[in-house]
Amino acid sequence: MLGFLGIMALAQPPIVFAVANRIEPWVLGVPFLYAYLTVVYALLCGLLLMVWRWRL
Amino acid sequence: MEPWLVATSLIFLYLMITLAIGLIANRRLSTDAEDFLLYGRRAGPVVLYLTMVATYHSAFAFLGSGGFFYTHGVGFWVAGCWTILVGAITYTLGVRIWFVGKQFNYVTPADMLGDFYASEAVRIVAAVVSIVFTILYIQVQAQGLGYILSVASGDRVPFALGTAILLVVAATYLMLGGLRAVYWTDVLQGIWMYVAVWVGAVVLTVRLFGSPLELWRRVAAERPDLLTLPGPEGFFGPGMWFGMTVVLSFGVVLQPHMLIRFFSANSARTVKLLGATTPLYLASLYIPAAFVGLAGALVMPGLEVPDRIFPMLLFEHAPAWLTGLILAGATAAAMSTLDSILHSNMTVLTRDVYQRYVNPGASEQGVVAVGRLIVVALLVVAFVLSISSSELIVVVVTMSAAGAMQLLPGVCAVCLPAPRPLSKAGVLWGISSGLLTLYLTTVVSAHPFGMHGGIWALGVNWAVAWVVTRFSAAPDEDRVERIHGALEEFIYGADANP
Repeated sequence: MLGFLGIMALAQPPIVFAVANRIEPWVLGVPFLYAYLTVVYALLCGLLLMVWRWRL
Repeated sequence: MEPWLVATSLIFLYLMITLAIGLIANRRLSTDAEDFLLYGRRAGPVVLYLTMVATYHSAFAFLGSGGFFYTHGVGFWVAGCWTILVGAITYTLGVRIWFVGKQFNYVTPADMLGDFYASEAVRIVAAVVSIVFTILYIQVQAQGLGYILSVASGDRVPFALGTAILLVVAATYLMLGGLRAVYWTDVLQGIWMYVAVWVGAVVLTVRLFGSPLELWRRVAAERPDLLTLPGPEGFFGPGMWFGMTVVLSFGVVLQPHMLIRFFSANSARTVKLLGATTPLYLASLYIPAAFVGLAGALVMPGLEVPDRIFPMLLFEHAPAWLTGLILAGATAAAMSTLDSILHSNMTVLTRDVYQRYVNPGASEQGVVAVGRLIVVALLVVAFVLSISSSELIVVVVTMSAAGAMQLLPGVCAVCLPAPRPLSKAGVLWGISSGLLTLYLTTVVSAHPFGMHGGIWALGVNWAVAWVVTRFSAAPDEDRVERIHGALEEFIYGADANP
């Protein structure tokens, strides 16, 4: 639960506005903000799957 | 063949398939009311997965999200936050809701809250909130359906006629097969809409820009304001970002058509599987929506109604057969939400009004028959709503998810055992003050200090509920012990973590 909230905080204000709100650097041809959010979402989805798989 | 004829024919073919599914579901239907209302609490992971995602994503996800990216840029990728949070809520709260539903035979949210507080007032308030904040949502879906058919046919099928046709189809298969028909058609709709939006977006992006990466490069060169927050119109500020995350996750999950899905699951393991996996579908549907919206912002700037960007791009840049298939997918997106709302409203009215107050001794067949009559009445209401443009309707629709979210403190009191749960008076005063605050912060003065009105309302709701609880009678101890004891045994007992 704490891990999930911690990662979710990375996609919430103020972090997302202070740290990720820019176009550069580009990540694999994608602007930074979009790529950053996509990575955070992938981590959250991975965590949910891990919790389910290991019945935590 | 004319493009409009291909597109319209494919939509009608899709409607025929859904009716056939309704007929098949009817053959499997027993006379048991629980079978009609709750799929006999036997919904397995595949069916429940697809009905949950199809119901969550409405016409808005198909048409409106493209319009949001078109207008506000990548800020709308905040959608990933709320869709993933839906998974976490399902995993934690959903599995508890499933358990109390199965253990104590709850069919609706009002059943659950009314029984916990042994209060008809709580039951009635929960039923009214459940209905008011979803029945008008029918209007949005019905209007979306009429619009899709009207666009697909090049205005040859008038808006009102298109709405009527699609409403009648949805109501027919609901009456034929109850929740089973809704679930089975949702399986088709969930697959169709996902494939359609991805194929449509990729085809458009490749035809217009060569590749998604080139699309990003062109957006950065020509409209860099679409790639940062708060977006060109300043919409996605911190308060709105956080508010949409909370309201569109908790609020939608607490709407009766979503909550009933938890009650209908066959096991806790199924609900947990949904919690872990539905975010993959829900969030990834917004990736192609970004392609559509951003591509549209470059090649068709200045649209008065940005929600039309997807069909407009398709008609201009995609083959007719593909446009038809994709518009049938948009129809699927709207119908899968519409049929679920029709069903949940029918269930609340049948269970919480007819069975509770009108005819408590009604037979199983009688309950199913009355349920079908209520569907007909809802069909008429939905049609009238879809062709009207009352300002009140617009206001209530705006508050839809945030309104349903006002049940959250009460639902938490039932599902999360605590030394001193919220009292009956606390919940009633909390909901009342929350709804009043919601009206003030979404209609009178929209989103004060940039914070979503739903957050203000939930904050006031919880604060008032907590304060009133301190000065009012606690819920009946035996009743609380019966429900919380069973829940604790389920969560921490030998059979925990199924």
